[in-house]
Amino acid sequence: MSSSKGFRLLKEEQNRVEGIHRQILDFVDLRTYTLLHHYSMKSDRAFTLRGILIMLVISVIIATALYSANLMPSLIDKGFARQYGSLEEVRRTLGNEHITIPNYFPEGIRWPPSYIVAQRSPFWGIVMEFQSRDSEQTVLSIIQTDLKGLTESFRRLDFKEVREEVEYSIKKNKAILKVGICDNGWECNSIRWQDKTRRFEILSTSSPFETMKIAEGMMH
Amino acid sequence: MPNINALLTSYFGMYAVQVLVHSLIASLIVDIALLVWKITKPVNQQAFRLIVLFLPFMMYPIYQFINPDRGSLFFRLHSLTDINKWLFTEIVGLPMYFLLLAVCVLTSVVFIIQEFLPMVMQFLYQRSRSAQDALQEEDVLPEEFVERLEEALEGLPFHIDDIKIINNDDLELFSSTGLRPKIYATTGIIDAFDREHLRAALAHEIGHIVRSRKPILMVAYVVRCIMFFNPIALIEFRKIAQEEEKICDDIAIELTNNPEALYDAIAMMRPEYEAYEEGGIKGVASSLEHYSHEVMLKNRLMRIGGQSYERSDSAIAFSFTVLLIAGLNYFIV
Repeated sequence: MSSSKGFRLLKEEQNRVEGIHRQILDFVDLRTYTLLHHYSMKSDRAFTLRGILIMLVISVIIATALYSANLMPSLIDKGFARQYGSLEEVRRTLGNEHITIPNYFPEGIRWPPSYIVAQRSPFWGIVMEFQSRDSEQTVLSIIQTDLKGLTESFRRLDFKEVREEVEYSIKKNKAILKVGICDNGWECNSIRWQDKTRRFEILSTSSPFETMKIAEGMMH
Repeated sequence: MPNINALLTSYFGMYAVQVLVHSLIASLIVDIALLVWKITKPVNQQAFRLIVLFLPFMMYPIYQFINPDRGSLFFRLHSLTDINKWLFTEIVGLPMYFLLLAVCVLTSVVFIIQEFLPMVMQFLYQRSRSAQDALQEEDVLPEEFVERLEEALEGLPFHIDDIKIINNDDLELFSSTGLRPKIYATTGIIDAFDREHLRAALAHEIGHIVRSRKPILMVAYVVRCIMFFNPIALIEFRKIAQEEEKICDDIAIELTNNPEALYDAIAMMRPEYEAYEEGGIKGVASSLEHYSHEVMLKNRLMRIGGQSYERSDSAIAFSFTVLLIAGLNYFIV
């Protein structure tokens, strides 16, 4: 079939349909036509709104599917980051060999940690947050990761302003002490170091001296 | 081996991975939106497809500006999808990021072989051809070619001085854009096409020139080149280019009021299949290329002369789709 013939057939079909429309319009007066036109305009708006509703439903379905899919990696590998209720639960799930607990805590800090997030994949890491005995405020955060990991990714509380940064040697470990103001507006300080297998970071609202003592209590 | 975790949690790594997944989500939602609102006009379809290309590319810095903690572990814990969890999941002892890497490398190779190199070659070819084959100004243009072109251009918004004739028997017609846009026509096409066919083909090229004044496609191409590793961007850009052809067909019909002539002109430019019959991989590749070209031309032919009527308010549909994609992708990190 030549292209012209194909086009002519297509055109004939369109003319036939348009002819039917014209015949219908011949039977209706202008008033009816105006009403029909008005109705069609209204239905256009309804069509758009119907589309919005359908799209909302579809996006809820997509969001649910994504959320469900997000649970799958944790079913395959239990080591992905999640919140834990206690250190015992972390040890049961991830193994206890890596968690270092300081042997010194300043007064006024409530034990056990109020918030724990830990993971084994893609690298080993844990953050333990401690609250004050007097309030619900987080006053101490201890982060530990293996050397593949970065302590930054476990920081829930961070510096808004660093006033001083000093390098110290604690028990022959090179450590960096920072003093400044935290996101929550409190004065805070942090100390960061690493040994042969792990990185550590302590962020505290106690005095820098107390923070260094906590760090010392973690270096064996 | 580089620290893949540091790479994936870096700004660049998160950007690259999120652009890819956000494009996939955007593509899915746009395809559904086109169906739900029955968007059929090429100009509207193209606008929707441009969302897939631009939105994921633009939104990541905006998301990070709104919430700098968006990439943190704590945001990820409560997100809709933590892409990194998937990437570090091992299946048959192999982390999934290897699969992602393979897809990105493959897409980059396809981009270089199928798009970047042919574009450079075409540019050089057109330059050399227009320089070698274009009839020199001092040459006397065959009277009949000029007359035919003048006849075909009657009433069209283009001057004959801006048409360059290439001394070649192939049926080719293309345009260059820029400050002084030109249309290049081979002697073959001027000879083979009658007045109406030539007029329709020229009107189509005028469409491209008119459209090039809005450089959105050029910007889209730059974005697509930056996202050379993104297979969704590759597919969507092709669809955008196909829509552009349809838009120019519509402009041609508007200018000539003769859809039949345009239909014939496109049909006449369809290459013969036999010309592509080659053996081996080259043959398969040229057959595939021919097939996709054929599908695209058939697609264009089928819609010529038909009426596009949008039942929905495409501006509302467009805005809602953008909001939906931007909102959903915010929670995919």
